[in-house]
Amino acid sequence: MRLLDIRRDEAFKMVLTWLMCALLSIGYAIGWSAVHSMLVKRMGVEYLPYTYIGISLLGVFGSSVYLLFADAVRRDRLLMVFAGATGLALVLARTLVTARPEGEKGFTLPLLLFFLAVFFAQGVGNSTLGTQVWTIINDLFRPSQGRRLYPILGTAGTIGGIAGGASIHYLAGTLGTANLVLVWAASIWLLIPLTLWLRKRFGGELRGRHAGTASAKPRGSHLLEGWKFFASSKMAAILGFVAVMFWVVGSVADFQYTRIMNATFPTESKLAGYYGVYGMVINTSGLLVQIFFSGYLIRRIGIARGLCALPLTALAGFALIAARFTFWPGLALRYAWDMVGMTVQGNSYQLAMNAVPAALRARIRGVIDGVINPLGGVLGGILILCLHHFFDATGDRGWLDPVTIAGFVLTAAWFLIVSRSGKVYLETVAENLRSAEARTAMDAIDCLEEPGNPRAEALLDEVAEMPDPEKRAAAARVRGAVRSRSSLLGLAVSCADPSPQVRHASVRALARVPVSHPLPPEAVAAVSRLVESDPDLSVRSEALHFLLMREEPEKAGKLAAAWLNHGSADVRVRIVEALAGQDVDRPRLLAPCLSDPSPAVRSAAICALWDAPGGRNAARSALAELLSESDPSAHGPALIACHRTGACPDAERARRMGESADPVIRVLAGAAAIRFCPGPHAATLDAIFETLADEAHAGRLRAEVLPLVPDLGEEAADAILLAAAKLPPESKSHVSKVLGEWYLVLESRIARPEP
Amino acid sequence: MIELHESQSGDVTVISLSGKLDAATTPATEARLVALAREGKKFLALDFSGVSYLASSGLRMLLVLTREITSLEGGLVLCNLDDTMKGTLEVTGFLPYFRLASSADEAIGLLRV
Repeated sequence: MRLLDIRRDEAFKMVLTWLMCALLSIGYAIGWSAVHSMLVKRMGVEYLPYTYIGISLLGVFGSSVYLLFADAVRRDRLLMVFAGATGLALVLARTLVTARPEGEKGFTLPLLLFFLAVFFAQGVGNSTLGTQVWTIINDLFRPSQGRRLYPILGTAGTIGGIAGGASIHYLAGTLGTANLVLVWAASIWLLIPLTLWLRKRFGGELRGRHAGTASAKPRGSHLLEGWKFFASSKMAAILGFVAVMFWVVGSVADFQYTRIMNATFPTESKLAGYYGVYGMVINTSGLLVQIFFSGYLIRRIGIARGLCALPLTALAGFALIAARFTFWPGLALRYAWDMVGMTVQGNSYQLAMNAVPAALRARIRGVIDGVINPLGGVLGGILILCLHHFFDATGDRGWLDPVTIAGFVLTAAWFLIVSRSGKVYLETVAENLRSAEARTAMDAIDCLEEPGNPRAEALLDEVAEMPDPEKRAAAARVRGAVRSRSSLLGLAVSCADPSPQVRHASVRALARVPVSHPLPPEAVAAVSRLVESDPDLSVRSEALHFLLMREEPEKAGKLAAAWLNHGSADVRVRIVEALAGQDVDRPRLLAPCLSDPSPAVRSAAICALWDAPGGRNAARSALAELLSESDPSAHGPALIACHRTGACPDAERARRMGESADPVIRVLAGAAAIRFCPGPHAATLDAIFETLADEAHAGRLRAEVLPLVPDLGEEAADAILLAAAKLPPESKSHVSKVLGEWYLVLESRIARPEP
Repeated sequence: MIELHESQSGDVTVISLSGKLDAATTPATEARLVALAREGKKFLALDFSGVSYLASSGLRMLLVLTREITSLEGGLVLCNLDDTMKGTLEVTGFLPYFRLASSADEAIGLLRV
């Protein structure tokens, strides 16, 4: 899993969604090959070009049907209905023809109905299933996960295609070509149990928009809403344009490539053999690139540049075939097209969909994948027919070849438009950042991971000023992934954020920058300040960890020792506390702190050494000594050490400290008596509540006792809690002035979940 | 030992707890509930009708769970708490951070909206 960078809680989702993508691909590879062969052999090759156009138009119709329901009906339910109906159409189609190829020679009615039914199943059902599966994938994974996981999910199509293609020969021989349509239907139906399984495990994530309310809207207005957004959104228009150009330029490139290969391989069998070898090479190498390289590349170049990769590749390929219209340039054109198309381009395209607001995503994906894409197919088909009709016989090659010139012009237009996509993409993301819908806004922050893009960094600066700490923390995480100088400087600033959540996220983001990557001195200084003065232990600890981690072990030890010699006792306490969670030689480093002039430093050192291997004996002796001190300033630190270690060498002395005039000492001593002395403790509890209910001490107790409540031990904390819950309303209200921030105290102690 | 009984109502998972939520039982309960949320059951209704005691470690568990569920964009509703438990949540400042329901059905309704 580490090799593929899949986290434990993502694994099951990944397996299910990968299987869904693979099943679609296997079924299509097997079923479509069978239908294609049956069409050529039973009806004639002359019908083939028209099927591309016909299926594309049916695809437009199917997508329109899908769009009526997208985002209004639950994603999982819609997918199952489409899968069920598509499989059924394929099975019914199969009943119309015989298994024998010679059964229906020529243009018969059953054969015509068979192809109509199959094309209807493909155009209306199957063409939207991929869209639906990817919409579900968008829901299940955040964009930050997508950058790691989409390339892996992208392998499903390739592996499915290889597996499907490899099994066709055997299956056709065993079952008969016509029955492969049933295999296709079965693979589509298998999506249903997988979807049910997905719903059982992750049902809440498949709700779509405002589950339970959106379906009340009329279907027509729902569809109209999707088209309106498509018409008004520049980003949606660019994605649509990319889809069209992919098909149109792809048709031109394929046309030229086919001409070259047709001229290179004189016989049909040699040409077919070459295609077989090429298919294996491109699928295998594409798979390797997709798994090991594509995700990294997208993270480094960003989505906007990723969308420019394919037109740039195509321009280079057309230049090559213009220079030499022979095998190797032709192969280079096709190989680069397929490789970039299935990796960088495909992933960038899928990730760019995250710039579309979450509530409209399914409809926009439906419009682009289901309507615009098929239209691209129609245009590509017509373009091929026209180019073939007008220019194929001219014999011009090289730079004067009209087809190559058409490819150049179209690709240049594609590149020019798409080169603006970065700006438009970020404009859309900027709008989404202000969305009231949490998912859309958080996805937009993730979309700002565009290394080297000043506008994205400026938007991150804006997010870092937003009132919601969740968003500021998300911005910090993205800045850590971007790693540019300005984003690292931004992290230095957010280290001083008022929210501990943001400070923690900022330090953690800095800690994830590889040690080999230079950090601006401002960032290191900001983290050093946190080590010295941050009131939140988890932030301090993370900050110290960051500083020590970036040093060699020997230097890290010296650095820690230098911190421990700081002139301020408060700073020394914080360093000792932060060292408790570090992988350092604590007994050696902290031994001098056990005789520190400050009782608070000694108390912190006792706690830090308590669980350190080889540190407890020295800590126990120091605790006994601290507890026996007559100086009242040592009482508080001694009691704190007792509570934090769960040990009290002299319980009676701790109990007697309850007679102190200091309310903080009285409460801590009372809690120690409950914890370490035999009961009953009714009188002690009364004394504690008398102190807690005294409004004169509320402020100090809240500041000094409340943060220690999680350390008081289960017995004492529970006794206080239960008794407090049963107090009369007026006393309860006084006590809750002190204990009312228990939630916040606990929250500061608990490790934050990884986003 | 605390027992967890799980039932499903649409996307909402109702977990009926029975026993004492104290230091001995909460670590395992917390691990189980967090795992459920991470596996996708992130709309949770916790039914406390069988819980006889909510200790400070139980509060900690609720905090961990609500934080996890919030990060997963899910929802958590506590139902059937007795007066002492409500008092504990009130005096410790936990109350504003949780949605309470008087029955499992009400909790399911709150999570469905």
